[in-house]
Parts: sequence; structure tokens; C-alpha cells
Amino acid sequence: MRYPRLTPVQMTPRQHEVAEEIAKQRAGGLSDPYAALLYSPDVARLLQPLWEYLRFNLRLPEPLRLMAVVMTAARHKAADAEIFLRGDNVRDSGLTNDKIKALLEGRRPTGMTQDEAIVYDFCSQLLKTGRVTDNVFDSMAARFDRAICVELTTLCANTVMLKLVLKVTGTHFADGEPAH
Amino acid sequence: MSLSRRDALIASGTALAGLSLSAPDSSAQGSPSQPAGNSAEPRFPKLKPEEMYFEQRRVAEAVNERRDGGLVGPFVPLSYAPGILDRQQMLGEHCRYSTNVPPKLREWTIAIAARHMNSPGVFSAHARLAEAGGSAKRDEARWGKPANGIAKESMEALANRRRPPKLDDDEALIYDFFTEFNDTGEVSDAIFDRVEQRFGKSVIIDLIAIYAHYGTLGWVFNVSAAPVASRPFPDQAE
Repeated sequence: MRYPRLTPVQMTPRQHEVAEEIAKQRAGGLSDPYAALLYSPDVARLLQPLWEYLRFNLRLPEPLRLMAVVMTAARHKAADAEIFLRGDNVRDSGLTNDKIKALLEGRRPTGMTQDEAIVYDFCSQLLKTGRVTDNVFDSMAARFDRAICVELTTLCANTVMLKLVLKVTGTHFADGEPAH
Repeated sequence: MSLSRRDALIASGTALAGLSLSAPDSSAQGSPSQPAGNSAEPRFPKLKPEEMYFEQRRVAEAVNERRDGGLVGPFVPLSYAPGILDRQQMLGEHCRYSTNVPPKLREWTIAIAARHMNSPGVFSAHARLAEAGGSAKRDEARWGKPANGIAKESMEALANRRRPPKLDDDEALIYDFFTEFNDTGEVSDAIFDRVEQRFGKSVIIDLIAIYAHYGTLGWVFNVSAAPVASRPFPDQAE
């Protein structure tokens, strides 16, 4: 196990403080991957509010948020995205199974709504090249707004990074917990 | 972005900053008749205080005050989403000044993240720091004078997507660690064990945080399509 869970006697005072802070803030308490991040307590303390904000507080509609997460996580292979598709967030998101399947396989889903197509094109370019063309940016900004363009960009980037954390620490989300 | 737009931005330089007055976030209601982007203005005009809502202004002012260099570059687009700006920049503050990664290796990690995320803006903004091994002011106060920085040839090889031939052991470990993840999506036991043996579990988390933060800034900066002073990546020379 790369990052065995720290027991209270192993923790520094700073790790204790941060562990308590995170346990209080999260519905699921201090669980992975934040328990693993606690090895560097200030990183845990700073990533938790950022990542949970991107999970729970965006104005980007939920099916579109999930779409971006799946596309990003499945960039190397479909199996990498499965970890992001547990819990109830998928069923409730409104993103249909056949579309999820296409995204996992790196295909453009058929029958997308106009909003889904706009977000798909934005993410698809961003993931491939790290930027977006004027046409794609303008469609996104016109349908939503600039703030949501920032939400979508930071969501994709942070999903790359969350996947990195999961792969490095060898952790996954606890069962029943809302994934990213 | 189109060549014409980028060149227009570079050519008109600071004159564009004045455009922000005429460019409030007119698309906030999603009106298709007023797309937020067109080739005459930046994608994210810098917001004036009187254009901001309360929380937006509070966070923008706080970041402008606490951040060396103020609210510039990728922080301008981030200020459109203050909930993200606040959290991302707090993380950045820690990554920049307070982790247990020595400055030279921090800057090397940033350069690798910028290359992997295809961000010439972040790569150029940190190239000098990487070659100097950190900043004279704040890094030296904590870490002392660096013995050396990242070799110019290493930065050039990285920019060209080649594995730099003359890395020292630490530089090579960090390069191999992130490159394996970027190329394959995996972090094998072989590379993890080597990195852990050298840096330990806690510093690995710090390295990830640095890569994550600056990589994210790279995409935000790219999406803002703000002009960059140089084009360090030959495969993106346009």
C-alpha cells in the first residue's frame, strides 16, 4: 500500500488539525483521497475545498459537468473513468448511459443536446491541444457565460490532477461517496 | 485561436486593456445575439471594480493584495469565477512558497506541467526562474543560494518534447514520474518506488500539488487566449 492511512499516534500536530478540519467539512469524513493527501497536510487542506467546490458548487449544469469529468478521466483509457462513475451522481445527473458509453470509448455521442455538443467540443479541443478555437470559445461563452468557461476549464484541468492523485496514491473514493 | 486574432492582440498591446470598459460580461444571460468573444476584444477583459459583484470584488481585491505581482495573467480569467479564483490561488500561494520541494525542482516541475498541458504562457513565465534555480528574494531567504539552476539545454529539450540528455538524478526522476503519467495515465510501482525512495511520500504529494496548480493555470491562461511574449514550443509555433 503506497499511502497507508495515518493513525492518530503517527500524526504530527499539523496533521491532526487538518484531519479534524477536513472530517468536519465533508459528509463522508476524512476518507480517500484526502486521507492520503494528509501526508502533506497543507496540500490536503487546500485541495479539498477546491475540488469539492468543483464537485458541488458549479453553475455548469450537472450532466455537462459529468460529461467533462468522464471525457477527461477516460483520456488514456476507459477504465480510468470508472472510478469517477461510482455512487449516485451518475444516475441523478441526467447524462444517459449510451452517451456515457460513447464518451468512455472516446467517441462523439450521437443524439447530444445542443448544450452537450457545445461542451463536448470545448472539452474535446482542450484535452487534445490545451486550448480552444475562437469558434468553440464563442459558442460556449454565448450559450453560457465567461464564468462557466472558467468553471469548465478548471474542472477539466483539476480532473487530470485528481486522476494523478488517485494513480499515485493508489486510492479511490470510498464506496457510496460522491465521486468527483 | 486564429493567427489574425493573436497577432492583433500582440500588435495592439496595452491599448487593449482600455477596452475593458466597453466589454462587460454582456453574455451573462446567454444571449446568442451578443457572443462574448469576437476578434476585436480579449476573451476575458479585465473587470473594473464597478463591473464586479460583491463576492467577485472581495476576492479580486484579496488576491491582488496577497499575491506577488497582483491580479494578472491567468488570474484575470479566474476572477470571473471568484469561488475558484480564491481556492486555486490559495493553493498556488502554498505551492509557490511553502512546500518542501527545493526551488529548482519546483520550477522544473512547473516547466514539465506547462509542457504537458501545452501552455507556452506558463512555460515562458517560469523559464528564467527555472534557469536561475529559484527566485533571489523569497526562495533564497528560505533555501539559501542555489548551487545551480535547470540547464538551458534541458529547458529547450523539454520544450521540444525530447527527454533532456543531461539531467541530474533528481531532475530525471521528476521528469520520468510525470512523463509516465502524462503518456500512459499510469504511475507504475517501478517509478513510484524510485521517487518515494528519493523524496518520501510527503514530498511526492507536494510535487503533485505544484504540477496540478501550474498545469491548471496553464489551461486557464491558454483558454483566455491572452498574448504571450514568446513561443517556446516549436510544435506550436503557428
